[in-house]
Amino acid sequence: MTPPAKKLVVELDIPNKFSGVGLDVGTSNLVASRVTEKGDEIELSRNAFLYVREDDVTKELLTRMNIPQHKVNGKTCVLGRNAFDFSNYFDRRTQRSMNIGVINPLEREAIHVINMIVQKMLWKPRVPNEICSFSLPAEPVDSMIDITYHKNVIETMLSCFGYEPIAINEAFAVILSELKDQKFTGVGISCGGGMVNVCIAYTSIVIAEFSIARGGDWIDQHAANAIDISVNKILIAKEKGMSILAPQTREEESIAIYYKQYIRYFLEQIAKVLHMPDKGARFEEPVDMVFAGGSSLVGGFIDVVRKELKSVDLGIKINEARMASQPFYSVSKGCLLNAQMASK
Amino acid sequence: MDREIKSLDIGTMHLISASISKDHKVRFKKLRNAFLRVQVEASMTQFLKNEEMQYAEIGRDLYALGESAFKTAGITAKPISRPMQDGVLNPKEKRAEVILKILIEALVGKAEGPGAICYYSVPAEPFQRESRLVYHSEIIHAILEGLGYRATAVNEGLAVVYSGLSEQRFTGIGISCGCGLLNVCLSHKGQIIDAFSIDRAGDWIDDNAAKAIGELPHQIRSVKEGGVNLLAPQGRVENAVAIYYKDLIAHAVECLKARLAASGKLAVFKDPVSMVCAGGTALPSGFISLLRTAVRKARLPLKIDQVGLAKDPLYAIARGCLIGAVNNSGISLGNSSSKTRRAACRPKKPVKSARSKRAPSRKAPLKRKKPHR
Repeated sequence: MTPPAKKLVVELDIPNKFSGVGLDVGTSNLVASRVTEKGDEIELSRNAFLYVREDDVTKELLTRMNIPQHKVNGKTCVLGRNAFDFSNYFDRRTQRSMNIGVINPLEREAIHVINMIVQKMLWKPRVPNEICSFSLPAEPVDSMIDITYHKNVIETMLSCFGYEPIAINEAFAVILSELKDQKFTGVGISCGGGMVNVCIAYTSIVIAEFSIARGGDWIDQHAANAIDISVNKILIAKEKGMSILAPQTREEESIAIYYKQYIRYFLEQIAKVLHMPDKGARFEEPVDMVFAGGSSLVGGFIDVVRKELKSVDLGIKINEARMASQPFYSVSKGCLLNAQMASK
Repeated sequence: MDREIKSLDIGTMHLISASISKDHKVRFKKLRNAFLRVQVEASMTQFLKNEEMQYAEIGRDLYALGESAFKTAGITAKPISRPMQDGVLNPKEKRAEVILKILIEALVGKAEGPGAICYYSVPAEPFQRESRLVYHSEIIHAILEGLGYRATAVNEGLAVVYSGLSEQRFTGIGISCGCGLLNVCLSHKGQIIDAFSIDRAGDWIDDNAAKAIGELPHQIRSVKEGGVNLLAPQGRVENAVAIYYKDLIAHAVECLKARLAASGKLAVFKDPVSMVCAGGTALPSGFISLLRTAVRKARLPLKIDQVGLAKDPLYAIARGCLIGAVNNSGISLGNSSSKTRRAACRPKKPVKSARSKRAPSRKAPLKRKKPHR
């Protein structure tokens, strides 16, 4: 379920808001945004693909369904949302160019695929080397994932498209887009498909940034395994809209259980990091904690977070745990703001 | 005034400048001598500027400076970096010289014309220890000359004498109680008879009190700066601070006694002399009282008649350097006489007698000025 985007511009003193592009490079979704004289422009795509059979029946079916076919290393595939829909019809799992926040090492053509998806959704640069600020996960605290390779791949890709790439921490992008009134002081959390990214900042100075290698994909997989159904069915149940406070079906029950587990886990990880001597913060006043990202969209998410926060000692006082004004677009919006401010 | 006259107190914790305005008033500026490397997106520097954050971009790195560094370090729980340690440039900080240059320029600015002078404080050779003083002094000298000033070094203890013992004709003992060092100067009519520094001061108290009770030095410092009465400490931290203050004072008086005994030049002092203290480490209530007791018990080879605190102790060194600049340069302050020039820099009551008054509150004389970048 993709909510409609509202206004993108964060009211700041930006020298040229018509320059710069924001790109949220998420494990499940890619969101690009920019501002033009005509208004805000947003492009989004599922970060997924699916190899299909080369036979005439499949080709005819795809043509009839108006689904474009692409060639990757000689093999036919469908991209983005189409891959997601097509896989649902046949109860197959989509293939993913990214996994746990970075380029998927198990997919040989991952870079080729993500290049095609991004090229399709991204506009031509308005000026040579227009800045494109893209989201990057932080190093995880509970896994050995390295982000260097991923960062270089995205930078190279954007450079090839004629942009000047600038990486920005995914959770800091949430702070940029949502904590302007708090002078960019507080906690930004991006709950993506692959990981949870956390950033704690004081007047835009980063105190700590890290990620937790558990995201929406983890919930889907575990909820599916628990009741022995396919991940697609879990995704369909989530897409229909549900509340983890009042699950109605067996699938929803399983999703709710793993969502609560996921929330408890990432709050505990945050507490663990904030109690490290070099990562803690001593804010003079309680600060806001803002959540964004596709995995935070499920009904009842923020209520469970607030409840769990009562039993976790984060080491900092939270004034309010709240959802971002546009959780799905928040990271892209923060990236855009970064690009606009970096454009001279 | 036909020339620009400025002075600079180069302290381990604070940099303080003093200048004489056209209406012959002394103006001070103060900056914390500290920096902190921070992680900030390049796009946010304009926001930080709007927030009046003091910072510098060096290469790809961004550093919070002065009070901003101090505040940010407190909130982010990161250890502060200091361009200076033990009264001289910090050899462990590769950025020390660059940061110090930025801070000094922020304080004194570029000289407005030829002939501008700036007197700056330097510590004395340390007592029974190897010194890095020459390198430190030369670097400061080069920074100020680079800004267009004719730079002259003033012994820090002598600056305290200039500032606090003008009515005693600059005769007596001046002690600058800083963060990195205690600087002691025995002066006779403005001439140094002996000067030395002791490598125990404010930081030594913080470090040792912190180790003793398992706290961090900056936590001790913030309690100290919040106000401690050394004669009646409240709680564990204040008690540790008071213990190490007493030890510091005892050590300082012992060093002074040894130096005076070895001096052989005490015959010039026909009468008892005054002792005046300045600097941030001398600020806690009871400091002067403890020092006076220690001096009395020590039976020094030179008779001390008064032990007191300079007016505005934190600004006394910068003021003293400024007095040195005015007195030694033969500079004309317009139509004003030499007497008027000295009066512009002179505190009304140079020495507060510890006998007649109890130690003043730390907060009262410290009219903190907003640091300028």
